[in-house]
Amino acid sequence: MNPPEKKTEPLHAPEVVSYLDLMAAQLEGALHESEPPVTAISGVIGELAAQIPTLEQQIPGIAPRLRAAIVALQFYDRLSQRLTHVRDGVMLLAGALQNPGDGNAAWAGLHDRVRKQYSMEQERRIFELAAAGAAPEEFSKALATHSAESETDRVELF
Amino acid sequence: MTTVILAVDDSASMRKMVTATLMSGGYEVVQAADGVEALEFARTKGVDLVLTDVNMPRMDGITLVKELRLLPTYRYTPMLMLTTESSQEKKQEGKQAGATGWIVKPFNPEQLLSTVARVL
Repeated sequence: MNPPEKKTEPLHAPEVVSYLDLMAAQLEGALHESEPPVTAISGVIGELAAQIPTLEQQIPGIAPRLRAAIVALQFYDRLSQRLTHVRDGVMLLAGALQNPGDGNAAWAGLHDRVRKQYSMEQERRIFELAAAGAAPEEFSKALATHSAESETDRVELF
Repeated sequence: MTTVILAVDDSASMRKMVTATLMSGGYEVVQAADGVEALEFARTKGVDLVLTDVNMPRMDGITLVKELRLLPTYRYTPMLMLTTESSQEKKQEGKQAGATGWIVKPFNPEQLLSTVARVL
């Protein structure tokens, strides 16, 4: 007698949607909690930076350090955008699971909506990798090899 | 007379750092949290330069530039985009909307000030 086949239970969409909703809520919470302290720190650095000419006379060498702090603090702008996009993507996926619609067209629509929300070239690049079926390790490689534009590329006058 | 710059960004921390940098260069700064707020202000007062983010709720920066260019007081005002967007496609959109230039975040304070000085 053959052993009974092990049945694999499919993931139930409602439970998956619940988990996705939970993830979206956690991302929202993280964004909400992190904004006030970063804004407060930015305010203090900003107040100091606005006085750079005066401060440099009193604390020689402070000017480049304050400027470097301003550049560094801008990490939060990119981070919050990325987390927002991940949150929105998770919510779009939850919505798609709840209302599957017509398979291929629905998937193409979801793909489009997720892609459109991205605001950074780096995000689009790894999204296209994922859409092409690249392994997750490739995403990390793409992120690691992405380098910020050189100083001369950062500014373009038309 | 002090040069006035309208700084538009939906991120409060970015607005603080942009404002501080511009003030350290001797500029007066008016802040707006999105394109709608900036346009409401612009309909009542002119400024010497607009520095705006692209991705913002209610009204994005490229739409803001298009709307501002329709106002007689802003037809020739320098308008710089300050954004995480770096694609050529987006830059072209900005250029066609009437932007004067494009700065990719994170900005370097000295480079921001020298760029502002160049376009004023």
